[in-house]
Amino acid sequence: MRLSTSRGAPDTQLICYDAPMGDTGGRGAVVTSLASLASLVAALSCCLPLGTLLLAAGSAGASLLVEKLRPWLLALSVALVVFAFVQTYFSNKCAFRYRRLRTCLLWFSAVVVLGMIAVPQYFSALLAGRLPVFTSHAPLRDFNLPEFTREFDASLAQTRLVILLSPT
Amino acid sequence: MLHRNPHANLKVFVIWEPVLATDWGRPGPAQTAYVPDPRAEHFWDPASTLSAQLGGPAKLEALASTRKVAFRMKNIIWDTALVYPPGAHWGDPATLLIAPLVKFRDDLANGLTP
Repeated sequence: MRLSTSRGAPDTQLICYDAPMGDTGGRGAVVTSLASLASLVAALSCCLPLGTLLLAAGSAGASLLVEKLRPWLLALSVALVVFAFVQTYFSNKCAFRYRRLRTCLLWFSAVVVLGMIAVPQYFSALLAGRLPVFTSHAPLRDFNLPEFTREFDASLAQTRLVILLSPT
Repeated sequence: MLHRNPHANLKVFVIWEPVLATDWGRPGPAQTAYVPDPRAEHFWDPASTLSAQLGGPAKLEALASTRKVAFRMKNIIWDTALVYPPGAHWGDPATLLIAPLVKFRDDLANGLTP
């Protein structure tokens, strides 16, 4: 990068940054896409079965933190994807060598972010390595308290385990 | 923890309920795959009826004789497991309550061991 100054009219001074074409735009878009994915991974960490990522972190405190941050992280993901789109399609400063990688990352990020927002259960199932169509193990019934109570008391001879979970 | 106790005489009730911002809509068919045990029954509770019936997070202390809770719930009881011994009716206290499952899964597995 070269900084140069030039004088036009006597009372005008121009300062120009002579940067290579696309230096900022191309890298910026790639970094933005990666940052979007990173924030998405953080937002998804509650979705993996039994919190795979949280196990890696090894802390329930982190779980609480991520859960609280989840809407913000998703919003950040959307904002970063939008920013990457603007960088890619409305800013003509992108170097050609970054274009293919940037575009792939951008569309991948956009699909994952939108999918996570629109159909979070399917995305969490896919990330867990389970194809939704083939892995239904039992029917998912609508909860009805009297029916539940009846079934609970009907299995009096057994140990009963009641688990309350969020789908995502 | 269930496949660590394959022969335990268990009945498992899994209640899925909307808690997080991304929990909109009824879960897909793959949801039951998260707890694939044949002893499990799966329910979708969109109004968090069971949580309310249990008294909500404010009443956790009364729900079980032994409790291990490592996070603060707002309005809904979730990421929680309750173990009821044979002979207990609905409304009796559980012997063990854990939340979240990930943190106390070993305690839960031990609690299920006959």
